[in-house]
Amino acid sequence: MNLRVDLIFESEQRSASVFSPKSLMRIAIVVVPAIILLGAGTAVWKMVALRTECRNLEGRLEVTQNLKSDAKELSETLVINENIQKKLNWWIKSEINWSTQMLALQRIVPSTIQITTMQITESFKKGSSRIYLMKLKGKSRGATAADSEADVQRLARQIKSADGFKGMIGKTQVKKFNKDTSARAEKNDRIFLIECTYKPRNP
Amino acid sequence: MKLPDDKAERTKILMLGGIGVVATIYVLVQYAIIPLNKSNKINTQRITEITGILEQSERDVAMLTKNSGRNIKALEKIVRISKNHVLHPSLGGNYSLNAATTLEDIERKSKMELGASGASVSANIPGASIPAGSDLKSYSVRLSFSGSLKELTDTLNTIKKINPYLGIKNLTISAVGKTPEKHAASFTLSWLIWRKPEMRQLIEKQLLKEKKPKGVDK
Repeated sequence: MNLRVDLIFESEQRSASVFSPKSLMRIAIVVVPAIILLGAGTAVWKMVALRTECRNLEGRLEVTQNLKSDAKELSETLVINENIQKKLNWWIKSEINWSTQMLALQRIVPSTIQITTMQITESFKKGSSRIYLMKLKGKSRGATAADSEADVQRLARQIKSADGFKGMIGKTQVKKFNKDTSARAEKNDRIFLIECTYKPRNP
Repeated sequence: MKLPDDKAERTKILMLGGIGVVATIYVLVQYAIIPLNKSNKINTQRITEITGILEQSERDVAMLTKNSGRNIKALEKIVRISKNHVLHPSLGGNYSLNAATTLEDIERKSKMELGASGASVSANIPGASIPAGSDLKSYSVRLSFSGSLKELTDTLNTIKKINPYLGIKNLTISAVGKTPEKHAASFTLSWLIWRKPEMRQLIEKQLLKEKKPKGVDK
């Protein structure tokens, strides 16, 4: 026969386990709210930090945006001013020093040739390339008619390569070569027209 | 607080406590943590957005100083040329008086007599694209000359010394009769002019404004 004697009430009984439900509950009562409060606190702290950073950035942006509109206005003005400068530069640099050209021509014209008229005109290609055309009218007097022609052809070739013209002229052409029919002309006298087209100038 | 001895009563209290805790957690999460996280997410996005705009703006602003220097340099050159080499009108838009002064100067310095005729104003000169109001034109006078080739080249050189921005166009030289040392020449002398004469003052003002330290009241 077994006899069991309970000397303590049920409420006074204690668990032999390390983690009793009661102790776990006590821990939970402290830890869970602590975790929640910590989470909430972190979120609040993060919110304050982000708002502050946002406000600072917005302040910086406002200042920068004002400067940015100044920068935009300035860059537009700069384009205009640099283009005016380019235009002024174009005006002076696309031109040819005609006194140098005339002296260079004087040096290569042989004694058998007399230039009677020199005419220079200008035109524009693609809006801004300056193209000069030099027309040389003159008389040639050789020992023979062939000499007269050879002198004119030589002069046309020389103009392209002579000092003062080198690299400037794109094309030279004897456009006209005829017998001189004027009253004082001799048998082998010839009149001619040489056209020299300068290379487009667009500095 | 002491829990009741009765197991059923204790369970009830514990359950009620549990429900209370869960409800509190739910309220906290729903009405505090989720809105806070949402707000943080929005703020983070805004910060990313502003940072992007700010970086671009700061790059543009950094160009401001560089461009300001370039603009001052361009303006100084334009003002100098405008002041010394561009023809400006006098007496209500009349260019001929100032042009005549230059012609007298050329005649005096080259010791040659120039016959002037037919003044004209061109369309805008070619070159880089600029707004019509700021554009340049040319004022031209046809000149005739009689003399030797040397006198002519000296005169052309004198013109360029007086004003390198004076253009020499449509040059024609012809022999005069039997005298090869005498030539008759004619050419067009062109001055640069502003399409709008007030451009002279406008660019000078612009230069002063650019040179003024930033932040100084107008």
